[in-house]
Amino acid sequence: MDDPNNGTPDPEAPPEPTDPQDPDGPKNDPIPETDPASETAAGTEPQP
Amino acid sequence: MTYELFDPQLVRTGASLCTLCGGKVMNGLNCTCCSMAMWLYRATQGRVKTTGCHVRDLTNDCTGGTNLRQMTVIADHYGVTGYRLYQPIDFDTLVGLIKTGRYGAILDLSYSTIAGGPYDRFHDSFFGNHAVYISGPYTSTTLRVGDPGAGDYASIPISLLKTAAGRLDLGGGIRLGYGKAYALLTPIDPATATTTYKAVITAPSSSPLRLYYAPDGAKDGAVTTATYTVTRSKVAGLWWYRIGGTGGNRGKYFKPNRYTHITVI
Repeated sequence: MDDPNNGTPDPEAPPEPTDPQDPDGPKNDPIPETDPASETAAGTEPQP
Repeated sequence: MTYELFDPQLVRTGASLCTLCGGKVMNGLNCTCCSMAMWLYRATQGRVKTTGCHVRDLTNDCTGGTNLRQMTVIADHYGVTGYRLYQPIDFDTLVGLIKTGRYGAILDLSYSTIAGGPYDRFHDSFFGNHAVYISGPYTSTTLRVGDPGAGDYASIPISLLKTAAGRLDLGGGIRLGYGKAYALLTPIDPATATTTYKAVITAPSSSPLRLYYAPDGAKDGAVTTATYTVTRSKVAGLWWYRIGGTGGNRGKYFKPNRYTHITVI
């Protein structure tokens, strides 16, 4: 059978997953909705 | 054709208020879910267009953030097959697949690596585990990254993503390790029948045709007069032509304009 890739691995073929180190994996952490930059712009910096 | 959607996570970057679980505002917790909304659009070739808030609702999880394992349940819910969850994968292998242009992926990373630097979108206020959606290559050294906490896609260096992915906090202070990544890879994009075109470019020197490394990617030269064999694809609603042949501009992209005359070969 012809091998169009001459035996080289197919770069578009993903590897099969291995057994997970951690079955579930870590959850993402919460991001603050308030933007510190906009707080500064809105004048919420502590007053001297 | 690459299907691409951006789903913002935070109200200040365009998201609707996501109130679930008896009145809890979930926006700040939904980076994995919003990345999943982008992932689903790619994985289903545009058939599933949803939001991170709805994904979050489907998880039935009201506590803290979410993880990639939970997203596989969502993928199954929508009937997606052929995806892969890596916990872990070699980071360079993942990037190699992304660079084929036929995969998207959710990448878990630690924002502590990005915070305080030029790619920090949270003004040095967030340092925890984060999830982003990678749509494809941007340049040879950067990827096109949809950070749900930001307002749009951005070009982020592969080297920075590699370090951030390796710093993922697995709990108890244990880091994943440099060179590894936790990622949810989309199914491979379907191969499409390709029509070949002839593109004749006759642009004035004052307005040369701009070439790009990838669709919506970095600028990569310009031409005034040239004839190319090209193929066409639609990205985010716009047609892009990819230069074929053997010349020096092979593989680069351009958008058609009044100086391009394109015919089917």
